[in-house]
Amino acid sequence: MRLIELVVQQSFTEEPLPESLLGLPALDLISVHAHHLIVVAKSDVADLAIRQRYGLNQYDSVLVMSCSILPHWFTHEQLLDVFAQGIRRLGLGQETCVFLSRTDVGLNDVISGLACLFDGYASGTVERISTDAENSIVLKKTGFGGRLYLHQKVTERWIFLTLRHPNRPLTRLCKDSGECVWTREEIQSETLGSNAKFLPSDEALISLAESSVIVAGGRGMKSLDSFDLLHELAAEIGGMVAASLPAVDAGWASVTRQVGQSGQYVRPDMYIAFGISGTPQHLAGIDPLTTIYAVNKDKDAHIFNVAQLGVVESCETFLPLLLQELRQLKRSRLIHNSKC
Amino acid sequence: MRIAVLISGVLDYRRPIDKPSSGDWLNVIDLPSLPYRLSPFDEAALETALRLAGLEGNHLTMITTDCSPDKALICTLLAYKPDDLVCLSVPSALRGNSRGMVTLLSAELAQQRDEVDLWLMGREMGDLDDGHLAPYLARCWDLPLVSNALVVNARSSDLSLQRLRINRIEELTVQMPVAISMTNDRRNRLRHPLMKNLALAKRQVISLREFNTNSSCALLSQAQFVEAEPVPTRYDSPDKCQILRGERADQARDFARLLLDKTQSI
Repeated sequence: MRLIELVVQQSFTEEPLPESLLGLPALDLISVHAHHLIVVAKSDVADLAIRQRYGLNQYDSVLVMSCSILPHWFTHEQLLDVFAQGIRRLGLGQETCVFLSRTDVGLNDVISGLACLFDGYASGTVERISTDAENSIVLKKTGFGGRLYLHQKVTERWIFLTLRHPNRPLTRLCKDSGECVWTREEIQSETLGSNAKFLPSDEALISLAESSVIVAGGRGMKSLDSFDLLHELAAEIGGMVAASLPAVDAGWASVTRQVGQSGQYVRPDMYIAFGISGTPQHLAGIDPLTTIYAVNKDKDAHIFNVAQLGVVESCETFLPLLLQELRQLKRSRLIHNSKC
Repeated sequence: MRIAVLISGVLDYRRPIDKPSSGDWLNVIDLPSLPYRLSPFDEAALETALRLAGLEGNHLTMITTDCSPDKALICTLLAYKPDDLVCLSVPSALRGNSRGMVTLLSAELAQQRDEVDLWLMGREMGDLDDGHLAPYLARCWDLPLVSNALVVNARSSDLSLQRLRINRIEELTVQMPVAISMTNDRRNRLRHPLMKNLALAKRQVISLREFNTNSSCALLSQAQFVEAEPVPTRYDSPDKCQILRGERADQARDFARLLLDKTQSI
């Protein structure tokens, strides 16, 4: 079986992608005898930068598809065109191939589009890949709003999937021996089609998926002013601010910050929930391994059934006190450390 | 402008899923009798379709898939007074299979494919899709795709949109025909249907359009669900939540100390 990993060096966010091989720990018990990497990068991204970022030990071949025209974003159609050219370039033959990428709102589109283009199987977002006794590929994914694990046996020749993006350190595969074949190819911009014209919006860049600490607010925050305090708290402890659906609906936070079944799926080490009741729809967006701390004035709120530590207080009164204590504590520790 | 909105529906996400009487969780996929509701994404697509269809001269077709057997939900949809309503009966084996679903839709909606200017759907189409059906469908039908749209406005000859990317909102304009998958936003919260329309809808005869699965069975044999189990919930955890006690100021101090210690160790 061949594994073909698809990554974008300049993502839609203009931020560097965190790591290559996203989710490879999710690959269980499968025998991969060839591992390829296709990187779509801007022309001014040097080979050396790509080599340093992705390493070469684990790849049999790396194909860099460079393009100069796209100053900010690749559109869905453009990215699909470039990856399609790259896949054709690999000349993969009749072997079983698994094409994988991280899951995000842009690459999901591309992966499914590629599946259609190459008449492969679009398997959606997967948590784990394994093989059964007949050496068929079995994909583990969630369904029904994250309430059921489903195991799907796939005997297609080409399978296209996205993996949930982990934010913890990853173990890389290492191939036994052999040189990595490195190819760089310049894509002519005229060949890329798109009828969409993009304008940047003023929404601040945030990236909840990669944050290790998240401070989230819900309906119990009561006002936009209280929500501002969450931003202050997040700044003090190095976290990002998120929101539940009711808080987004109330206009206290942008939809880009929404966590839950209809928002983002997050995997921070610590999730501090203020004024969030803990509905199943909201909890479906938080990784089960995440530690939750909760502040809610309702002692019977569901959030206390899933939190490790809780405070039964109104957020409006507790947050200013917490900020005050936090700043005082930081100051005293700073003084103590400087004396030491 | 001719608008078609695809509505899948989901099992009621406010209720736990009961274990099937057969004891096999896989049977959950086969159970059409459970009550359905619109997902937030279905609602966003429907509200957008209703708003655009309210403009003069526009025509709205609603097409239901997974939720078609749920008569109560279909009555609610009828109460929104679409120009057409197509209820497709989806074989359970096709659920979660983008290629199978697109085969079904292509066969059943051949006429609409030629006529429709704007295809709207939720960013996830039902319980077994995680956002992969819309791009697959758009590619198969050779339509440009805008996914995760927050708001869509009609202009003289094109559409202006805002869409959600992984960490930003983008604005763009697109020409029709186009496929757009919608995500939830406060600007596209679904309106309530009029009570009198609901009463009228209950008297209407609803017919399901069955699909001949023979053509897609060959595809299905290469991908099938073989096992299912419930995802362990946090409620299953034996660890009890530790509630901080004492005066409010003491609690704030203890909590601050904990946050500082924990964040420094991450």
